[in-house]
Amino acid sequence: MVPFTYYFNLAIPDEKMRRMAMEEFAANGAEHLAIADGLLKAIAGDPKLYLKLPQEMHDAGLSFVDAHAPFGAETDPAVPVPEYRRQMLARLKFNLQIVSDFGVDSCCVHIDTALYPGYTLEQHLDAARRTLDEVLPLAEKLGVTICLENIFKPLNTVDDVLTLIREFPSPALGACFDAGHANIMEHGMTDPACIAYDRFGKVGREVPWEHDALDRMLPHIVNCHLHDNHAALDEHDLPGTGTVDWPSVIAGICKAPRLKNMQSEVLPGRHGIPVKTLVDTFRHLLNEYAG
Amino acid sequence: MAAVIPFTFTFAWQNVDETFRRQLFAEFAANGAKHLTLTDGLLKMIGENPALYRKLPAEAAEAGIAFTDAHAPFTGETDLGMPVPAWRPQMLARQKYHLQVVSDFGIRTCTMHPSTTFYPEYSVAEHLEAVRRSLDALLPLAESLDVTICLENIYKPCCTAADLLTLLSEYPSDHLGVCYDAGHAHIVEHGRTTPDWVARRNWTEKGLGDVPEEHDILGRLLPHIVNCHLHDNDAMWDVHLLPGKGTIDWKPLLARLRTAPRLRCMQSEVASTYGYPVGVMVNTFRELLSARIPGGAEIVF
Repeated sequence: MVPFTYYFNLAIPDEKMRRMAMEEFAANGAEHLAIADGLLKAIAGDPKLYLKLPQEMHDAGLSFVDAHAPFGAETDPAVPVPEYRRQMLARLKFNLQIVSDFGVDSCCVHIDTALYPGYTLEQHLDAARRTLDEVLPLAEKLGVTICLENIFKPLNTVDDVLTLIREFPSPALGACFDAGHANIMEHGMTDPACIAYDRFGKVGREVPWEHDALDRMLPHIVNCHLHDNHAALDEHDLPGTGTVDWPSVIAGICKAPRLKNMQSEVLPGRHGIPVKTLVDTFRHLLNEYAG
Repeated sequence: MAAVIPFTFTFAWQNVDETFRRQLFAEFAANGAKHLTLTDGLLKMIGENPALYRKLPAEAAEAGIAFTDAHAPFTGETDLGMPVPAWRPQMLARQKYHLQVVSDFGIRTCTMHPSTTFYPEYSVAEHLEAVRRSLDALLPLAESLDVTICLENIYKPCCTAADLLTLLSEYPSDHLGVCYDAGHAHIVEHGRTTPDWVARRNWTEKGLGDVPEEHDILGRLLPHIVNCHLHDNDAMWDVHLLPGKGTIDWKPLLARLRTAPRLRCMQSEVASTYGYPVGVMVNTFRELLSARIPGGAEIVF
């Protein structure tokens, strides 16, 4: 069984409160937390956290497993604007170094979050290719697998993820299967409010609804994001509150040959979910369906 | 014809919100100051909030000011002289990112501390060797970005004028120079008889022997000075006061400094935490630098 980790943004300025959050997870039986994108940004802004965080985690009896690189207009691999790319690359390399220094061997990266007007989708995708050209050697050297995530947005479909993985065959490149996003892309078509309509509509595209995302990504899945929704909005809610078919998802992911870890990407702060409920829910799911 | 050198101002931007930041940009502009420093605080803020990478230059342009020089983050995990092998790759990756942002902002000088935090398990020589390995890694990037790394003199090990001159002789590059810190030089040259000398705390009290005697730091560093930090003190503590509030004899110092052949920028490093009004800061330096100096740079605000 691979380690199970929780996405929780530990970028809490007050050290006592940050330590309390860690203790809360440990007291409820969690052993691992993911390095959230917000935390990597906080480390970039406060270098002291680089040494403090591992010690605080150790004191709480926790370790970091898995990471999520910052995403957005200035940080996405597919940034196509030449003058913005070099800082993006330098930042991504810095993030990978931190991830590696923290003993973590997988890092989820969004291919693209913010589309730049004036550039085509193909130009964005080509920019992502050039980013992989430059950062994959470092990821290989550091032993960190970059995991591309499926999202309900142009440039982040299962096809996009698989295309890039096929073009860059490397142990340092894999897929992050996002169960909530897959649910939206597989079952959202009947709801006019589905977020995918908005995201693809913005670039004048039909939504390329997906089927069997898990099966198609399975050979390449290295980590995963587990959270629930009703196939319309990206709720990041507790499993069981939405329409994700959890028995199939959990059983399926466990068969992934490259799987290194599994991650809760429920946002407890957004939904007021106690850590105890969060940990108990996933413990139950894994006990029931992980096989 | 005299060289024309911009004068820039540092500010603790990390202590103000966006509204007040914009207000202060306008305040500097209204007082005739067009150049600001991309501070270590701002570089850390951009690290924490990537959107500022595009937002800050836009805000500055809107106010009619520009970021003209830079100061890289320093202390502990970010110093060039940080000798702990396991922590060095992140330090180098971090400083490469900073140099890239500095370059993207159109800035051509970036001050870096050779060493701020002394690691007692390592010798002074090992710290200095770490600085060399950092320059090995960072100078090629600085050259490709056309950013000059300016090593700053400080009242600390690895940061003496002698240390800087050694490093400059070992790395002869147009993209390596000195940031002459007038306040720090004053402490080293004139603070020895003060009762609680900050330099002594960083040498003797750390078991590193007597503070090396240094004289005429400005004269020795003059050929290599690219940037400078101007602030006052009483030679005992590094208090970053407004010129005139401490014991530095400013007029002869500035007259000499303006003749530095590589000088590209002058910077107020007066601490904004004293609450000096912007107009007072700008006018203090304007008055000090208004006289023409034969062979000296003309300063524009």
